[in-house]
Amino acid sequence: MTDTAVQSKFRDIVRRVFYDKVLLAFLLVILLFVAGEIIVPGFSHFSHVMTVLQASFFLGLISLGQTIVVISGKEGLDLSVGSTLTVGVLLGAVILLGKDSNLPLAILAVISAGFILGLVNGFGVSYLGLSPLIMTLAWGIVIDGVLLFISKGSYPGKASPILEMIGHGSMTFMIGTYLVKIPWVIVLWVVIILGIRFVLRRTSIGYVLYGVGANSRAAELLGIKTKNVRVIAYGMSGMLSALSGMFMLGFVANPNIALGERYVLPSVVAVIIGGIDFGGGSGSYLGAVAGSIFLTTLASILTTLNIGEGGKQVVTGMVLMILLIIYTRKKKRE
Amino acid sequence: MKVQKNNSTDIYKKIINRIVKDPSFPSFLIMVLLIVINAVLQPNFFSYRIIKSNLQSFTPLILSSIAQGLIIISGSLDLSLGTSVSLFSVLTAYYMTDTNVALILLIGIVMVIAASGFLNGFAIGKLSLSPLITTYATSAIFLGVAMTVLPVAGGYVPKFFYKIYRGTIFGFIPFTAFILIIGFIIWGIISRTALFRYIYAIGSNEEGAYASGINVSTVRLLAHVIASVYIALVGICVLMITATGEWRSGLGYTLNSVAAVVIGGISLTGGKGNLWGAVFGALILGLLSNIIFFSQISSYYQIFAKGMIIVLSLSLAAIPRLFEEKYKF
Amino acid sequence: MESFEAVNFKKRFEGVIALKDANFKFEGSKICGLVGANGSGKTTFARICSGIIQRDEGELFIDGEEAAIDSPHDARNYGIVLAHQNLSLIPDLTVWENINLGHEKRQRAIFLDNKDAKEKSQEILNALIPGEISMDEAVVNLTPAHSQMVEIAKALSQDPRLLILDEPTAALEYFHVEQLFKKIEELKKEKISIIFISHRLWEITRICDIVFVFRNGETVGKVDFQEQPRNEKLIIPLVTGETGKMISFSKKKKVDFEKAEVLLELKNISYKGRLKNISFKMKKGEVLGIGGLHGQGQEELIMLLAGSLHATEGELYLHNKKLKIKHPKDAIKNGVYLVPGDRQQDGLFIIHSIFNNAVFPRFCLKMDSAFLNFTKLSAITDKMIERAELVPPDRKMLVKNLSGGNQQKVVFGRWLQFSPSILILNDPAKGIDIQAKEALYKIMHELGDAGTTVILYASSNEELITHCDRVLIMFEGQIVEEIVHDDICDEKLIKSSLRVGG
Repeated sequence: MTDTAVQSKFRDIVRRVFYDKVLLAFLLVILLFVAGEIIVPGFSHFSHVMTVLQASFFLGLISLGQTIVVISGKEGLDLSVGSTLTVGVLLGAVILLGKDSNLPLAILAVISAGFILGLVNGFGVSYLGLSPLIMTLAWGIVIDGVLLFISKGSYPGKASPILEMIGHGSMTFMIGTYLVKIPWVIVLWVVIILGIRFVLRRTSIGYVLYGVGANSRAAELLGIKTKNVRVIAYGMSGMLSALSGMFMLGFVANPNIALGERYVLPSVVAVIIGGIDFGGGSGSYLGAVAGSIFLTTLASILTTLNIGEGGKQVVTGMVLMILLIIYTRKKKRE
Repeated sequence: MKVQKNNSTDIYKKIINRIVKDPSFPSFLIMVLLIVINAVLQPNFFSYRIIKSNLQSFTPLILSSIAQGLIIISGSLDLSLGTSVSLFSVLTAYYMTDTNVALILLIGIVMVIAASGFLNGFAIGKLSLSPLITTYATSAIFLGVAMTVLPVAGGYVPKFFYKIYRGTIFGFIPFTAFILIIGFIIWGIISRTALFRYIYAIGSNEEGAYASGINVSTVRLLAHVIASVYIALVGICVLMITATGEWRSGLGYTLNSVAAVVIGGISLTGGKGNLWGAVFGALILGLLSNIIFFSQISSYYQIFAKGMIIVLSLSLAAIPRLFEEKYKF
Repeated sequence: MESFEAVNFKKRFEGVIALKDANFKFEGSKICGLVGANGSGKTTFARICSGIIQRDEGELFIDGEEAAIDSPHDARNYGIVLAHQNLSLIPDLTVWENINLGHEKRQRAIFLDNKDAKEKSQEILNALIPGEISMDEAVVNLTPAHSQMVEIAKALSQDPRLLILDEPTAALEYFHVEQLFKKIEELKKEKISIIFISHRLWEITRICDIVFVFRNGETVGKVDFQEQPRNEKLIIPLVTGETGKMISFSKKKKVDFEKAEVLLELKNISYKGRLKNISFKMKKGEVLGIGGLHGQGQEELIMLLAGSLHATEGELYLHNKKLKIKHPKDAIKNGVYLVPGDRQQDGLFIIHSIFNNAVFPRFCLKMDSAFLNFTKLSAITDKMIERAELVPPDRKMLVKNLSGGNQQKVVFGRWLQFSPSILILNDPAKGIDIQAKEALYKIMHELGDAGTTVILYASSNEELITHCDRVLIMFEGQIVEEIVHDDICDEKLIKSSLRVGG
């Protein structure tokens, strides 16, 4: 190939990468790991990367719910995810009481509770036409209030051994002479990602969701009960954050009641990093996966640099602004 | 067909029709209802002392709702309102001493206008970034700075601040009423300008506004800047109320201002409603707090109750929309 | 305006070339027509001239001097004002506020002077349509015709030297059109030039002095009516680019109303005062037209049949069985399919592919298992693309990149896979180019031959005359007259719509 041909091919590849939001997001993650390695040598070694990915799972699960809600359209957003996460933590702990035998019941209870709480959001947004921002924010506050009242700040119960193993244990095997440890939640996450990808791209459920998000009026006229679809989307979000909370129970020794709040903003940011359009009807969960990993890695780097909570807020806010500017610039050119 | 309205009863009918159809009318009614309830629970509700005391807590609410209302009518949103207030509170308390009060206050006001007004306004107006996410980002930045400067409540606020806020001017006008009047005067002035109409225009149909020759990005920037003046006033009130620098102090104002605006009949999509609704909405929230307080429910219930009430008021505000024609063309 | 010359305008939007080589020139106060198919660049050209967007290349000369127009403000300084196709009105502001928007009179620099603003607006509007519109009404409550008139009044209030009207008549009743034409003639006498953009060739040939034709972003021809006869036939070939014949539809099949089976029957259907006691029978295989002035209930009737509204009273019978349609799903399940009027808002998933748009109706019918069979669905989509002559024939193509005509083919074509029994067309040819329009009607007639019954609502009488077996005229929510077969003609349709004469 001639020089110019090589040049234009290169430019083509760069353009393809830049236009593919998911690829771009993963590129950012890699850049971040590179920066991490520079700042803190050893940061990007395999076992530490696994640790960071493990920590990203919980945000990743919540971001999945957020992704579904955003895809469902009409400026969809779920700001109650922190509160439903806490529900998952508390309910899980209270039912498990440290016993594995209670695990199936706990999972069932957490999934149902999260789903039902999400349905309330869905009802308010879909049937009452309330803005998702306001509805989910307000409902989250109500849930927080109830939890505070019930638990009075502390809670009985604790995680069971299996849950703990899943939460912070790893799958170990040998490759040659190397001992490889892959945290169970990462395995779980991969399964979930593949499953979601299948549902969204190869089933009618996925197509209906994307359609409702892209143009709910057209979907309605084509026979879909769009209101119900959106209600279920919010239900799913509640369910997924509650589930994430339950898994977190196995990951963290003493989850406290304010834990959920820290995940709300990042779950929205993860979706944005993933290039998912808030207008609805498009976007890939893989983008949010990259976004979740990005944010968790960023927080990890900041912690290593001994930056406090305030500093983390500032950095996250600025990162969000920069990304926003980049993505909006791109969008404007379209 | 054009009919000459000479009949005076027709004119009255027309006026009453206009009032009833106004988007802020339902909130007006709710407010009156709550005044009645409040007056029942608190016997000297209409006394000078109680009114003055209520004004002290209502004033920042009202001002923040006017700010948010203006922004929302322009089609934007400000989720950083509360954290701007916190930032003001922390930075002014941090640097204040007995001698530099006026200077620090002035710098603080300028900073709020620069950050909340110009930063948000520029990003949303000139860079066309999404208001929701932008102000979410700036709120994180403001909060982060405030938390870093004063992780624990502290700083210094001269004692007379506390007294002035609860005091009077000319012997009988409460200081807080004075601040409110400033707010109303600003409102009165801007509502007579073309800018005010343009703010509605860009909120209602941004493309059409641009095609009509309106400089959309500048109008949007100015909406945020004008609102930031009100936010600065809120900051002053909060500083005087708490008499300390505390990053938590402003946080509630974000959700409350948005709720007040929505309850007051201003549409979140922009272009519809009027600032009276924001005022009524703020008063509704303030009166509700009073009522909850006076009915002596336990503090755990209070948070729950407040959240529920916001949800319920929003649902009520949404009801007229349910009766709208499903198919509009 | 004394002279206006646009030379070699070029404009490109991300990936799409809107204007390749647009030229436009006139001298003196003339009424210039600008015609072209959808996507030919007319609106882009208008927007460049009025400063809303900027051209990439090209020169502009006004009154002999080079002109730079970088904003709507600049354009107004030159006296160029545009009355928009998609209306630049602010829905939540009142009529007079809208008319004054952007050029309000001030008192003391920043304060508004509202006093005579209202009166002036009243004057201007009265000069167009006396007495119909109240100044204090919010624009959102106006009918489309009135909104269009306010848009025009707004343009007039800016004292234009060159007034550009982009599709001003699409929403107007025909007596409004008469008044508009009168005004245009007056403006010409006042030395104001007009650029009149329209699809309606009969209007163009009526009032324009010269006509420019755009095709694919370039000027392909000019017709000067001072030298040539006012005949549409001179213009059409330039628009379509073909010298070939247009398809002529002859109604070969005349439905025998005595013998044909009753497919659908409505009895005493009422809806909230917008539909009053509607009763009629649809016979299998007919093309039933719905006519009348805009806004007499036709839209409600259609949405009712499609399942988007439910009647407050009355019954519906399909194949003589009573049917309750509460949701579009019920309609679709029973073979009643809707091609919506506003394809972008109601019909299409604009950001999705042709494939997505084509297969979507299957989901509510649960025709396939949840796990989609892409081979089967792709084949179905490809067949549809072929039959509807979609260009380009790529099912993965995003609908937003299709021309208006092709987009409409998707909205229409998605029902082809089902062999529809009843097809409801809500103004299917609105705003699409002639070729696409013919293609659609060709398919419609083919379906009719195969047994489909069609309900057609068209805003142009010409379509009703050409394609319908019967036309029901609606007025104030009721069916007031039924015009059958050969009786359907322009005069009868107009008279009946206006409830006038014999």
